[in-house]
Amino acid sequence: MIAFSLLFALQDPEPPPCSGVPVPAVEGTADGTMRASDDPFAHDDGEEWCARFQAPGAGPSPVRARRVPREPTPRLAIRARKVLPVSERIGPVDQGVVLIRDGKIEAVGKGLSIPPDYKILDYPSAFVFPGFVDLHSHIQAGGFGDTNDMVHPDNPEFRVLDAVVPWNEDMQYAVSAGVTTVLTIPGSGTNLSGFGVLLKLKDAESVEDMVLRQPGAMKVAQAWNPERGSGDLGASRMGMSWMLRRLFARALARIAEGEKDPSKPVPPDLAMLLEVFRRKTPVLIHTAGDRDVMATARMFRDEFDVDAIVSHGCFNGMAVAPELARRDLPTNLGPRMYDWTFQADARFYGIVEGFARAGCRKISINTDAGVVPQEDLFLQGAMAARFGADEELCLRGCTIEPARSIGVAERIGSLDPGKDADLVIKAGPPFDARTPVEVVLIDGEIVYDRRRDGQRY
Amino acid sequence: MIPLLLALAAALQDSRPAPAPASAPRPREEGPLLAIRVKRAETVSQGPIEEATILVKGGRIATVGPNVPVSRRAKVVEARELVAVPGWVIPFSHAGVSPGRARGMNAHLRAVDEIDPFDPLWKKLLERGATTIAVAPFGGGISGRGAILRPRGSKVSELALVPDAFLAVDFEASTQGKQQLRQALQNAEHELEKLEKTAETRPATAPATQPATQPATRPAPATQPAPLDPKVEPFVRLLERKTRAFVALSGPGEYLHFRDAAKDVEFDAVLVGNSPLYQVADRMGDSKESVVLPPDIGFVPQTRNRVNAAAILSRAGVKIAFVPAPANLEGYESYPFRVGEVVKAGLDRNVALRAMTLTPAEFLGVADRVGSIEEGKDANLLFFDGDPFDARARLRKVLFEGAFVYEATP
Amino acid sequence: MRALPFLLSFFLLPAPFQESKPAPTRKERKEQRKKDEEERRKKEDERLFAIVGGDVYTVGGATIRGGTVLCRGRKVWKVGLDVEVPKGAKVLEAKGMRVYPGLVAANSFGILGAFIGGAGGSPADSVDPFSLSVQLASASGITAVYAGTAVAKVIPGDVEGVLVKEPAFVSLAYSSSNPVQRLDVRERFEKARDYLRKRGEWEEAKKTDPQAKEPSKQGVDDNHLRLLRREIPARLQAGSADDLLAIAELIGDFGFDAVVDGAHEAWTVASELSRRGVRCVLNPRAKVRPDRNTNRPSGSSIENAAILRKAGVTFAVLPPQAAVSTGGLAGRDLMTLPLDAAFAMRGGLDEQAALEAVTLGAARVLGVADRLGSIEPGKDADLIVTSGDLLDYRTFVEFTIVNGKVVYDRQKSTFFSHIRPRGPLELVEVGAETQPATAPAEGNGR
Repeated sequence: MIAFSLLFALQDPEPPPCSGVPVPAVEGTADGTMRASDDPFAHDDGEEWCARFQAPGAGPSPVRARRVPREPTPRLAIRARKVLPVSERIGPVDQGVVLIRDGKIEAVGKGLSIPPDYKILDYPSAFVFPGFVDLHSHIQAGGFGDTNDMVHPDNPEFRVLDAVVPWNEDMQYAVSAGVTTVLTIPGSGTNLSGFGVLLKLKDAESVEDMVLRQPGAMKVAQAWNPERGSGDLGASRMGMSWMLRRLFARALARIAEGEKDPSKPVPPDLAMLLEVFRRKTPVLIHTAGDRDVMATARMFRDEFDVDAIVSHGCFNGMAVAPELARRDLPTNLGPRMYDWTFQADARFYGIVEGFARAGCRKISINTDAGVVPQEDLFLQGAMAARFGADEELCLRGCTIEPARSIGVAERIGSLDPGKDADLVIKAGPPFDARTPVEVVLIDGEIVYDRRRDGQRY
Repeated sequence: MIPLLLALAAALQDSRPAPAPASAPRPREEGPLLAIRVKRAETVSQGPIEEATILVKGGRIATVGPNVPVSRRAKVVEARELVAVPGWVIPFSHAGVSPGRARGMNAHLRAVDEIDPFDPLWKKLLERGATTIAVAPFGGGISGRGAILRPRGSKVSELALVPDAFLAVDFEASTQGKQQLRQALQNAEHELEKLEKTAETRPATAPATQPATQPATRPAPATQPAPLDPKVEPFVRLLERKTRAFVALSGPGEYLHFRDAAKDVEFDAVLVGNSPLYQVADRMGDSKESVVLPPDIGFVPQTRNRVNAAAILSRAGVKIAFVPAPANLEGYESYPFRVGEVVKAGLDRNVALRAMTLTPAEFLGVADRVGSIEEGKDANLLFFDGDPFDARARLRKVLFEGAFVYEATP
Repeated sequence: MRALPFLLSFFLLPAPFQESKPAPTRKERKEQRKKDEEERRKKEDERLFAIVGGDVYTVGGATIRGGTVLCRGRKVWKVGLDVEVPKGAKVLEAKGMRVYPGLVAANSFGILGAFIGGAGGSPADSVDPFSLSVQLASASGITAVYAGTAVAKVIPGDVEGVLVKEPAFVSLAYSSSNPVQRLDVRERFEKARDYLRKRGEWEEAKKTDPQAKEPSKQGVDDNHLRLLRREIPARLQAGSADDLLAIAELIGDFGFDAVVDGAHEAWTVASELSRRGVRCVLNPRAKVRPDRNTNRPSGSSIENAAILRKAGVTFAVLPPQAAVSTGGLAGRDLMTLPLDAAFAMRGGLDEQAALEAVTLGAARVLGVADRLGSIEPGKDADLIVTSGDLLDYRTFVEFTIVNGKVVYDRQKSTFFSHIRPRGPLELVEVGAETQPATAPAEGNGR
């Protein structure tokens, strides 16, 4: 305990210069105002820091997706037994052809004529479907490294981007099972553990080549892990929620200030957080159990109204699924695929099926890799189907729904013409463990070819 | 057979490391007359009698009936607002026995050796209606010999209704546990066969048809069989059906393992179990088992669905007796109320009342003395100011062997 | 004093009563019990049960579409297309369904050892047949497992007929990275081999010289003697090629049967394992990264099972966790054992071999293939019935049959009955019903 307070003393040698900022009334506070000095964990760094680290008006992230000059991607034509575009306009196509040009899907259809300059990938017995997207992954460093930094309870300044090991082995395995995009995020060791990055799993030398979007999403852990040691603020849901609200109130106050005085520098710890409240960055909330899933719906939709994605939802979170459906909240379910104790009637209830039955439309499926290995995202879909969910819903849950929830559906998630050519050629149906993935393309480039690379999975 | 009895009686006497305290004498049959007029007497043996008079003479029940002539010499107790039931017979407990015995073969140990007559517990149990209490030694495996107590007296010999009443087994479904039981039963069978052989060879010199000459030709004591090992002796008695085993089981799985381990021999066993046993109700019913249960409504495994094990087992043909649970004063205090809950949930009321009185008395082999309001039985009576199964009913008086030992404060 | 009860009892019981109706003696009662038990067993052995009309995946032989499996007592009696079902047989109408041998788990943890943390000794004595783990394993189609030191059946609600083989293995530790341990094992084998040689010589000498001295067994490990006599196989843990080759070498030097758990690099040394007759228990999904310090093939491979099959190695597959769990992580434990056969197919194994890897192959690995693993006359009637392809991720087991008795019916159990419900299907006794064989066609009166 002594060492702990010492740590904070070292970090905050002087009282923060801008303590006592009045903030808008926030539900859950007695008098509608909060003061930074009330909070033993406050690490408002003040204007000096602001000036040192950030020029006024700078965006939240210095990282931009960058294309490394490569050999021009060839024009490709894929011939397959069945194409599953997961599109609202194009249904499943038997004996289908997919044309790819400049890294984008050009056309999908039956018996399309293939122009002469197209290289043909002929897989007459295979299935073709969009690359899988996982919104809850921790494979940034390969294994469970660099996921939790647990000094502060709330860490809006942390970026997973800083921890990414490009093209690590987890990523290579993942691609070989058809996963092409992941939102790799910090762990649930703290209440607000930082910002994840949306990556395409390409064989890249630098992170920048992989980034689809930075920041990908903010990660919040509502409960079931971030609880701090007894005696610390944040040991209970009361403290955790209070600290989150306090931080959010600060962010809202800063936005209001910024509207009044655009020249005022943004404190670096708030820079990314402000984008959440401007609804440019979604927030993915690790939450489970009926109480906590409901708390998530209330805090992030009813109270702060940000782009929230409810992740996990297990341990009887299903009980409040109708409430999520009513709010049309996106859910990101997994890694658990059934609830055994849901009704305490000795039955296995499929979680995906349960949320779908309650009327939730925006359902995506996750692995929480490495809780479940990243490459087993397809198996998560299979298990969702095993435990009662509709097969098509499960396929959407691994492709278009996560893309929509995270806000990149214009780029990925289906085989609609114009979208990135991120697709999977598999020897059999998407969820069948019996057949291997043959070829995986990202942006029209072959990132995995079973025959070329050897069968990884 | 008859010489065998003799031989065995001798053997038993010789084998004991120390004599057990003598059984408590039966309460006297003569003495002052007491006539108790009650609203209803739940006799258990002959059903309820409304507006009954119970005549107690000395320490025993003389008569019970609706129109009993009361002698002028009798002291009359007017309790017309009260319902009389037989005192509770507790078929299994570890009351007054110190815990912590290691798992093993302890057939020679006796619970009665642990009994402290001055332990205030006895009075407390008596005041909660427990007028007959079986106590078993603690300890896994073959725990030892249980005693049946009357919870009143200043000497162990006064408390011990039957000092060496049954063999207590805390059965464990394991290779070791099953082997131990099998081995013990096999050894006993072996001993018994030896005894039987001796008995068979004797009629040549002393035919049973000439009893008059028998004493004269009886072999000298020097050729008597060696005294039995006190660890074997209770098992021999078990096989002779002279005593019974109380076998504690953790659930239906252990029941099957117990029956597997004991399948080669025949003996009387009372199974001390719990509500999950309902899962083997059919098998238990087929085998006409005797089972001691706590009065609770259990759960279907892995669910919140309730299940009335007592009702299911009883309907399947299993004889059931209840035992207060939890095994503390609170459990004894709420005992009839808890049984009442089981009745509400579907157990036959008569079966339930019998399961607290006469059935456990039968299990313990003392049904000739206690367990019902019947002529000649010990006058152990409880008086409730309502139906004993009603949560509002209160125990007002306890009569123990003809004397009021407890009166509730108004 | 002692004569008193004797005299009393004599006079109290009138002699005619004693003679006319003597109570059975203890011995007589014992005889009677023995007779009753024999009667019961006989009846049990004659009990008939048939599964009719399903596609029978015998695994040992050809698949029979719309066939009949007739069981008598605990054994499969007849299998085929034209098997007549005798009167009195209980029949399960399985048209449109599939019949497979019961699944065999080549290893398991916590499924049978429910009492006192698995310290109960033999599963035959300690299994809790009402435990959740037993019920879940049975609901997942598993009819036999290796547990502790024994091969035992998974029978919900019964403790009879549990044991198949015990002990099934001598457990041995032999790691390439532990020279002391290796030396110790080799010494034990050498001592045992010397003893066997001396004993052989002695047995020869004895024929001519009755005074020949029997060699001393002092310091000879009995387990190693049994291994050398091939009375029992060894079971070892080994994953890397180094460890596997070390074991192969040990077998080459001394000659014994061995089963290896893990074996993730077996695919790199498959022909050597085949040559030494090493049997493997592996998880096709095992993920062990390649060793960067070598340029020979290393690490795990999804093709492990397929490569071993080609090399002629006998193997069984297991999921990542050889247990059952209600924790919510699906498809990773024994509740989806066939899924790992599916993963072996992903790596190139054919379907027949994949089925074998969870049935007959596993039975071979465990040394119980004479009784378990395939649907053949004379083998144990341990079967499962499914409504779809066993290797499909959506398929649930509908019925589990052990020792010729239905021990699990999906619709009568709670676990999975609400997921794509099948509808009730009762056992029918042949000849018991008095209904006409063919119902009168509707509208006959026209």
